[in-house]
Amino acid sequence: MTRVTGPWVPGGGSMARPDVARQQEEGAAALASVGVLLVVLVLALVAVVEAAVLLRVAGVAATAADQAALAAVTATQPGSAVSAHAAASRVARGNGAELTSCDCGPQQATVTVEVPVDRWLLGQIGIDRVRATGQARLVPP
Amino acid sequence: MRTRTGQGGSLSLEMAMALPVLALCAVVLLQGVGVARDALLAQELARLGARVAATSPSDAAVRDAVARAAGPDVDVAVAISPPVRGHGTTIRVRVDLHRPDRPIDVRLRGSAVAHGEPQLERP
Repeated sequence: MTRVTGPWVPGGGSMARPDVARQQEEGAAALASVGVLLVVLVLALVAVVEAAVLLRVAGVAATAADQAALAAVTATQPGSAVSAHAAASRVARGNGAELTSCDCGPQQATVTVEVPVDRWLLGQIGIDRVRATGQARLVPP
Repeated sequence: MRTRTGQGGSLSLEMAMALPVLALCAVVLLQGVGVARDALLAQELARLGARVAATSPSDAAVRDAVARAAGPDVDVAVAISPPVRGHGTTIRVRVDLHRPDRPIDVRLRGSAVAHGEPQLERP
């Protein structure tokens, strides 16, 4: 690209005309801005994908925690063949989560589950698992 | 003057080639947001279906609840297992979601597991 620093002199040899130079600079600037916009759009797409994965994992974790808490409370009722902890663990595993704690009482349960996040980019910013807590309370009919 | 006109033309041509690419990227981005939203919706529908299935022995009640929650613009297919459930049964509900008006045909799946509640045993 030719850069013009001074006024144009008629018959000035190989020096480019200022209007031509301005056009060239404007063209380069326009292309550069298009390139920047393209990069921004691609980065936005990547961010949307990663955010969607994270939100989905958070939804799975919330589902697992809620259902595990309900399972724990239900298992304390007469007629249940499994313990509250076993029921919560089974339901959490079925939902793709791991039961990390279960405060399983006869009338109330509080469970915590974790779901691994298997994404390289999220792992780079320290998000490798999502934790969720669910609570359930038995209300007599 | 002739040179100036030629430069302006080349600039327009470059922009004309770049703008469709930008527009395509923007469309892909918007479609990506739509697909992400539907993926979350599929998971929430499966969660709702599992909750209903844990308290109701009727598959029709589960399908009806999921279809009503999904709304009229979405096609959903609900699979419930096992077909007969009782207190303590591990119930799995799968929801396959499809939006017919989307230009790209994407089918999304949500899945949830629940523990059968004592109401299932009651007549």
